[in-house]
Order: sequence, then C-alpha cells, then structure tokens
Amino acid sequence: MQLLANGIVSGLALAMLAVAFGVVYVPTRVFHLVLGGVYALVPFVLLAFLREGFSWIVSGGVAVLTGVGLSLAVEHFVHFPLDVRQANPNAHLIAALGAYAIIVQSTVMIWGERMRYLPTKAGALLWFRYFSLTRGQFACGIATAAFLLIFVAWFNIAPSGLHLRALSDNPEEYGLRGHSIRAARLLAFGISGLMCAVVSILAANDLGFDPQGGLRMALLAIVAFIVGGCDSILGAVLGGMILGILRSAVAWWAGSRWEDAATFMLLALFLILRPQGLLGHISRLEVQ
Amino acid sequence: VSYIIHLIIYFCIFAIVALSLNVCVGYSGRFTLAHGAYFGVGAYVYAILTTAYGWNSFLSILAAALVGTALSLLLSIPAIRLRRDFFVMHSLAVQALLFSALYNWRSHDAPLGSWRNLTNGPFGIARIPSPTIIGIQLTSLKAFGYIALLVGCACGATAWLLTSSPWGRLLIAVRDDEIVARALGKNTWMIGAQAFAAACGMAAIGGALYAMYVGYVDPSLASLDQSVLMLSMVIVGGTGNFIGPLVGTAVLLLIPELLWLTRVPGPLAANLRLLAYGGLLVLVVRIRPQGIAGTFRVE
Repeated sequence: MQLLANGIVSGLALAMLAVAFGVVYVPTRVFHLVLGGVYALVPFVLLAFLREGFSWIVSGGVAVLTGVGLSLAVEHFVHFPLDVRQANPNAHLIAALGAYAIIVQSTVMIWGERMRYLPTKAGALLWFRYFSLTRGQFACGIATAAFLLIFVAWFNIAPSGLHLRALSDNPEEYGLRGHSIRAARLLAFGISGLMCAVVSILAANDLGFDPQGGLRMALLAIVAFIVGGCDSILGAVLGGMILGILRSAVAWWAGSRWEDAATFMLLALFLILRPQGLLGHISRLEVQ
Repeated sequence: VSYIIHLIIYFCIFAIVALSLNVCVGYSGRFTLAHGAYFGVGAYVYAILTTAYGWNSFLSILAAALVGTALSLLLSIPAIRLRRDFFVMHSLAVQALLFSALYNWRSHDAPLGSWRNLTNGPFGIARIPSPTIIGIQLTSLKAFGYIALLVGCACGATAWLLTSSPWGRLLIAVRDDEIVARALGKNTWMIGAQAFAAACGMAAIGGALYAMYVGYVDPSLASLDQSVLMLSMVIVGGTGNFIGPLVGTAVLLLIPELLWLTRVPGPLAANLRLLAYGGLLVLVVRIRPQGIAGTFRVE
C-alpha cells in the first residue's frame, strides 16, 4: 500500500509534466525539451526571492511567471522561426537541446551546482490508515491532481482548449479559417511553462532541487507521454501514473539505481511493440 | 610540445567519434543520442580485457569494435519502424539502458571482469595498462600520439572510403528519399543497419583509444552529456561530408583550451564551455543548418 501511495504521488507529478509536454507536442509536434530547463530554474528563482524577504505568494508568482516567460521566449526565438522555415523535428530537437544547455548552465553559474531545499516543513510525516506520506508528498499529490482535473476540463470544454485541438488536427485549415496559429502556439507554450513551473515547485518542496535534474524529469515526462499515447492528453495522465507506480515498485524491489533502466526498458518496449501508446491510435497514412 | 601532443590525441579520439556519428546523422539522416553509450562500451571492453584478462591492447581494440558493432543492433532493429523523433527517443532509451548496465553491473564480492562484477559499477576501472608492441610497453606521450594518429587515420580512411563508395551514395539516396530507394529494389533497412554497425563500431574504437590513453574509465563516459557533446561536434562542424565533423571536433575541443588559456577559473570554464556548446547548437540550427563546413542541412 505504501508502495502504491508513493507511486501515485510521484505518478501524478510525472503526469502533470507529461501533460505539460503533450500540450505543446500535440498541436505543434515540437519536442519541448526546454521544459527541463524550466523545471531546473524555477525553484532557484523562488528561493532567491524568499531569501530577499518576499512572501511565498509573491515569490511563487514570480517563479511561475519566470517559467511561463522562459517557455514563451523559447517558442518566440527558437521554435517559431524554425517552424516558419518548415524545419523538421530533428532541427527543433537540436535547438531545444541547445536552449536547455544555455538555461541550465546559466542557472549553475548564478546559483551553483549543489542541492538546495525550500524553507518548509515538507518532511514531516502524515499518517493514514495503511500508509504514510510526507507533507510535501501530500501537497504535491493534491495540487497536481487538482491542476490535472482543471486542465483536462479546460482542454475538452473551453473554446481556447478547442482551438489547440483544432490546431493539432489540421494546422493549415485552422489558419485558413482566420485563426492565429501564432497565438494558439503561444498559448500552448505558456500553459506548458505554467504547468512545469508549478510541478517543479511542488517537487522541490518535497525532495529538494538541483540544476541538473531538469532534463531527467523532462525525459521521464516524454516517456510517460509516449507510453500513454502520443495524441492523447488523457494518455499522458495515464502514462505518468503507470510510470510513477512502476518506478516506485522497482525502487522497492530492486533498488532505486534500477529505476531509470526499467523506465527506458518500458519506453523501448512500447516504441517497438506499440508505438502509438496505450490510448493512441494508428492514423491512416494520408493523415500521417 | 606535450600539450600539443595531448591535443592531437584528443582530436584523433573525438574525430573518430564525430566521423562515425556523421555516418548516422549526415549520411543516413537518422539522429541518435546513443553514441556516447557506444563510446563508453568500447572504453569498458578495452579496460576489462586488458586489465582483468591481460589481452593485448590491439586485440582489445578489435574486440571493442566487434562488441560495439554487435550492440548496434539495438539501434538498427527498431529503425525498421521508427522515424524521426521517435527514433531519437529510442536511441535515448538505448543510451539509458547501456549507461545503467555500465553503472549497475557490480558486485563487491566478485572479481573485476567476472559475470557478477563486469564493470565495477560507479567506481569504474583504474590502472588500465599501457599498450605493448612485441613485448615493449609504450608509456611515453609521443608513442600514444603515434598510436592515436595511426588509429585515427585508419578510421578516417575507412569513413572516407565507405561514404565515397557506391554504398555511401546509396545511403544518401535512402536519406533523401527512402521510398524511391525501396522502389528501386534496395534493402533500405539493411543499408541502415550496416551504417549503424560501422558507426557504432568506430565509436567503440574511439572509446577504446580513450581508455588506453587516460588509463581510467567510469560510467560518465557513456552518459547522455557525452552523447550531446558528440552530436554538437557533428552539428556545429557540419554533416554530410568528410570535413564538417573534423571542423566541429576542432571547434569544440578548442573552446575549453581557449578558456584555459584566458585563465578562466576551472569550474566557471566548465560551465562556460557547456553554455557555448548550447549557444552554438541554437545558432547553427537557426543561421546555418548545414553547420560550418557541412553539406546536409539538418532542418
């Protein structure tokens, strides 16, 4: 039961990151690896403002806005110009790797490499009937679940969510009908940055943070997204949960050093045997 | 003089890796993030065979190439179905799995090189013996320089011959239009598998040469950072021809040396180096997608 509880909490965080990745990938087909940089940078901004004496609300707001701004800036300066030139996904991937390296190395040069912790009492234990969670885990689980619910409802019901889905289905027709592709893309990148920033603060509150952990988390989110199904936001949530529980089980039975091996073994199996993922579907050749 | 020889040795090692990666990226058109892992595997095969089993250095380099070639199937088998970013993700999975194997294949109560303690885990393998020729142990820097030049030239010549042959032209044809190549009766999977076999084998030779020179290997050699660095060399220098990867290797090896010459403090220099690599990647993709001296536009 303890294993399941740990898996669900970390799975929810991964699910939120996977959705943050998917909200960009589904409409734009851009591998938004810069999420790793946002994930690494945001907690440092939060801590810096807290140390300057600002309140949690102000510091958290600035940190989240930094994440959103960074995501938008990468779209504006890197991905959109490439998209205008109809660059292939490999070019986007290389540029994203470069942008990630710039963000992380800048973070390291400003704040250093060492592990940091937010000044909270996140380590205190909360006992439930069959399991226990730290306060940080509890907050992370509740907040990510709430965010995911709000996001899925927005994506499926709100007109702006519909716009993103329309952009993913047929970008040419979306533009021809007078909608701004640029605005829809910026919306996707902004939401992605927002979700990544929030989950990064929640995870930093629970486990601490360092500048090098971002890419690993972004890659785990991509694995969750692929496992869940590449066309599906709900698939990303499912993939995140499965991955969280799998990693928790592997850490429990075989040791945490095998977590990554199990994760990427799962990815390789899915890519070879079921590349469309759990909830994805194989589209007709002319649609591809 | 020692410093120059040291630079030449490093240039030879990474030029082998960049030229091999160019076969995948520039000629085959498939991006891979697993090349660092093959480099690491080659280094480990060399280290284990020479340290634990006392093999001759040159036989060990050959064995490293064979193991790298065999493991290339991990990349080429999924290449039948996976394209573009999904293939890159698969290469990332291979990278992570090989890294995990090198990092975790350890047992504290078994001798190094045994089935239970093949890689010595995170502690790596130290005291790798210097190479020997006809019973004479070569320990001087100059001797290493000659060996690196010899192996580097052999690998460079192999890459040149492969890519300028009809086989290389077929590889380019498959890269540019796979369906046409298949319509002409070419086995496109086989040509891709051969390209990966050649590239991974050469990367393993580069790794073996590195282990021979440095005398110590650890799992960081097979990390994702290494793969990104190798990809940067090829992208920045340029892909699709012979000169591009060599230029990329020179540029990316010169950046840390320039930082060292300008007396930038060590830790800051390491960060500035990675920052420069990142900046160069973004700039090249935005401004010059074929790289400094390449012919194939990565966009």
